[in-house]
Amino acid sequence: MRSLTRKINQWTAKLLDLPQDVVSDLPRVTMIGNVQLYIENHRGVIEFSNEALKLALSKGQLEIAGKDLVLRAILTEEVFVEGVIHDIKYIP
Amino acid sequence: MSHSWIQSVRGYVLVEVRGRGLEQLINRMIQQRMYVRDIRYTAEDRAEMNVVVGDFFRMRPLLKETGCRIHVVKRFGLPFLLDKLEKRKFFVVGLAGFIVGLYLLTSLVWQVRVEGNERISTDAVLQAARSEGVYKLQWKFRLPDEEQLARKLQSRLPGTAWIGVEMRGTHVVIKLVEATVPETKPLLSPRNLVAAKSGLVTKIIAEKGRPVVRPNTYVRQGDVLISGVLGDEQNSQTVVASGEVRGIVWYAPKIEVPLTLQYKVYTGEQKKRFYLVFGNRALQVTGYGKLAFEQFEAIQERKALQWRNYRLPLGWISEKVLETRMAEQPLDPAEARAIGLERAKSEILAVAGEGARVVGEKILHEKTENGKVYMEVHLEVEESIAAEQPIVPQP
Repeated sequence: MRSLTRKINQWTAKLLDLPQDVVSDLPRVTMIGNVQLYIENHRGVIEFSNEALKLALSKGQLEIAGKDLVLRAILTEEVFVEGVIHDIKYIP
Repeated sequence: MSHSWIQSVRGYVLVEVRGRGLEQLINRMIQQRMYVRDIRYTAEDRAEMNVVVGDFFRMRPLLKETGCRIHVVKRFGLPFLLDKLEKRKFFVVGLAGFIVGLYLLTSLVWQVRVEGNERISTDAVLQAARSEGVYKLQWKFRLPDEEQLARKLQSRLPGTAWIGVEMRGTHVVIKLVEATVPETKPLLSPRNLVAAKSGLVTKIIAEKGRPVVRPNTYVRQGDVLISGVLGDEQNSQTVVASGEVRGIVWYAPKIEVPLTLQYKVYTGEQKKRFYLVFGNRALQVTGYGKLAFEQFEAIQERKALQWRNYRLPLGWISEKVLETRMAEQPLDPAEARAIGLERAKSEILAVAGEGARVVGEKILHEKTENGKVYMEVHLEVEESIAAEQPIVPQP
């Protein structure tokens, strides 16, 4: 039943040309150069230091590696990270 | 996301958090919708973050839950500032005093200015404004309405067509337009017009008053021509007589004319001089030496250096000195007579005043003696013969 709902959702999204993050519960990651990172739809912080940030997602994790990382702002669904970002890894 | 100035009004603190459950603390805080900013990892299990004051107190149970310790590093924002100010009472008093003083000083009139007056003196306008309550160091809120003030000022200042009062900050500007008043005629006392000279009246036009004589009558000096007394013996009124009276006046000048005519001629000898001019001084450069001429005329030509519209105080004068001599030319008696008549006429007309003209001439007597022509002529000149005579009221 649940997979059926998802299928209908995906089909509708394709038909209406909607972005995936609106339909499925996926994060939207916006990156400005290697200095700013903006993640919407996260599920909390798993690990944080000034060289690594691990965020929980609805499915999987997002690992960010860099230097002098600062959580400029953090809200229930949004994170705004600043610093020198080297690496972003998506763990499903 | 709220702006930083709103946060600084609400006040926030920079705290240092120590403990193993740092990430858990952050997660719990965002679950509770606390506002956390600038989370910075400082060392192993240590981080700094900015928390709004209200959230800081709500953090307490979460700290216990996650086993973290907290330490305030720095305070920012208005609540802490006010806290500080409470300790510095005199500073606050001074600040308030400054603001009140500034307000009071700006609500004073610092200058009253008058614009647009030419005949009415500025002092008179300022005096009128003062009596309406507009003066230096007056409170602005005590001033009446601009329009009302302008109306009152205008009633105090006759001779103004319009007055406008404008308040520009601490300045009051009174603008006025002066009324154009017709020129007042000089006051004249009642008078007659009488004959200045004996003669024959040719034309009489009375603008005011009663003409007494008619054209083609002879009048003597002092006779009334236009009377300033109107009415009969019972009801009479005196006026300022005015008008035009012209008459023919006789003159009998005696004329002497020599039978030789003298005039100046150039001999052709000349000398040149050159001067340099500095300001008001001229320095002679060439043409020194004694003049060999008995009679001479000097013609100067002055040049000044000029740059655009400015005359520079530098220049030169070139002077030509021309020798002259008197030449004599014999005249026959007829020519001498004509010259003499012409001279006599122009002398008389110059004295007789404007509009005078010669209407008749006659040579009465003529003789030639000692190289001169002696003549006696009779000239009839038409001229204005009216003179003013004040009427002395009869007691």
